[in-house]
Amino acid sequence: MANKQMKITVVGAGTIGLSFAALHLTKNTDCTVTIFDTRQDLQQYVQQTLPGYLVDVDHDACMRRLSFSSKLEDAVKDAAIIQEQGPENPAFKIDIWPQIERHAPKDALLWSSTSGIPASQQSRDMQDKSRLVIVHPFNPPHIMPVLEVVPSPETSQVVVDRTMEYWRKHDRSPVVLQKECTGFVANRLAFALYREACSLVTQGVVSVEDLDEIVQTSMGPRWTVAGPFKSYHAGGGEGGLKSFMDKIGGTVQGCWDASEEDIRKGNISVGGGWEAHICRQTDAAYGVVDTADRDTKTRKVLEAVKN
Amino acid sequence: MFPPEATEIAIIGSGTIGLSFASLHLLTHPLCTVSIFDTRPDLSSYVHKYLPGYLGRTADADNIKYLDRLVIATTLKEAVESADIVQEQGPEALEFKLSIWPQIELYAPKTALFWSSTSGIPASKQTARMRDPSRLLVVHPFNPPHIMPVLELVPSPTTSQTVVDQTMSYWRALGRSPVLLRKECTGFVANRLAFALFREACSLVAQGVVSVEDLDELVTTSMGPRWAVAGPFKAYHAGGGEGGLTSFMEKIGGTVQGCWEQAEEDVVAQGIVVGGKWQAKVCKQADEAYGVVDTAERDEKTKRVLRAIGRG
Repeated sequence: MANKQMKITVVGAGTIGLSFAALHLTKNTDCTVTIFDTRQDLQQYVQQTLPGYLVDVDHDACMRRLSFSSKLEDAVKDAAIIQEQGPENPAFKIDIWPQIERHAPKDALLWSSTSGIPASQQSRDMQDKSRLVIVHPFNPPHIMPVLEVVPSPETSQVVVDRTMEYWRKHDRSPVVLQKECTGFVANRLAFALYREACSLVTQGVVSVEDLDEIVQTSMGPRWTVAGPFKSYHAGGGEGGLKSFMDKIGGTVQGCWDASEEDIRKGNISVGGGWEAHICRQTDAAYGVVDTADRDTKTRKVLEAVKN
Repeated sequence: MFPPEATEIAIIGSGTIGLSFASLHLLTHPLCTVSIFDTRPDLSSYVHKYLPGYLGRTADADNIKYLDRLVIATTLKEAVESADIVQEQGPEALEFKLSIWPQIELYAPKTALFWSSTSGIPASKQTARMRDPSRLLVVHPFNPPHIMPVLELVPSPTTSQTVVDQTMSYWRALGRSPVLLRKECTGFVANRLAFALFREACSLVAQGVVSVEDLDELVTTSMGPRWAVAGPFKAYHAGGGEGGLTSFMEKIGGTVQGCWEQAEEDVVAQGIVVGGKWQAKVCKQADEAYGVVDTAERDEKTKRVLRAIGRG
């Protein structure tokens, strides 16, 4: 990877694009960032909004390494990395990658931040499908360190390795998924817990606020220190996860069975009758969330768990 | 009866939860005394050997301050006869719970609070042979209670409001996070949520999407920190911007439904039931990845995280 003024192109100036731009500028002091977007007021908009994402760093020094482009060809020329976070629709992605491919250097890394459109779909019209890989963040990427690296069956190992190397070098926690699947991993896990949460609140077992409190004072801290497998493995004592499943397996199965039944009974599908009630409760509980405060606390938590 | 006054607590059952609770009371309630009762013959030597580990001290001299306030009871009657609180964490077996509460009721003061730490046997079942079922409340911890602040308070339909209120006051005064559930359900809330995520985790590993270690890495660098600061509803509500959770569901609802449907399909296709073929493979991966976990280090880190969110 070049180490002198590497050019990184960020395609799409939404919240993810700006967050990534800030992340590169902050963590990779050797890079310049070019933002491409078709919005009219791009420069003004970014200059106004980006500083909010630049934490503990010299704003002016970062902004000096930032440039703008409304022509894709110019934006990707000479770039080492092109990172896309445009509209979440297949047509947009399928259309843009061949264009990027035409004008970018042959060895540029091509990343999409999509949460749902796999590389195998996006690369359909590319000359060299092996170049594309998904790099999916957890919102917002300038705070949350994980990145799901999701290669298509055709993505080359070299591309995966170079991607992993870049992110590890720049203080992130990239994780390679071994195959594509709906929703990847983080969202699948979070949405599974969320479905159960909606089910329990809908049944009247607990309020929205109290469920959040339970999670904040148990699973949140527990899973910041050790993930679910490691936690249950530890819970099994000397016999590890196997022992845990032997001892607690009955309880686990009982919960899984009850969950299935409750979800069916409560019709916990998106758009169901339960949804409005929960949204109302949530709105009443929280109003407008202070995300700056949330981000500060999140950073403190991430610091606390470092070795 | 409640902090800052002297409180006598009877701990029934000296397993890990009992010792953890004993140490929690001793550490956070300076005026309490704790009586421990268990049928094991070596109770005294056992408690003296293991309790210091929970208290976080190793030198005997440091322990004296706490051990002065600890009584090893030789009978159930002795343990509970002057208790303000009787906290049970015996075997997770209905017959045990059914038979012990009437005995405790017989010997304990009329105003003593009765708490069960059960994770699965609701108060409405445990009270079947009691004279006054309104006295019993499930107080379910997240393991280990001397570290994790949450307590699920699960009343039966007949538990009295006074018992609930007094229990809430006690734990709040000690700086814990008691949460009242409005009705009994299988597994209560924390385990239901955690096991739901665990099922999906097993499914994704079984399918070969991700390894056990990588899935854990993913969780510790995303959901863990996120949910330590804001639980799932608050987090998605914030994710919806000005329009809150309503807006989030409108924009991302399609994605969510797609994941829910795929999750259901995968759980069936992979046979994710306890004892299924997937289990041995996943357990083996966990064993190879982690061996024996250093729980002291884990507890230290957990305390740091709790301090970072103002709960430690």
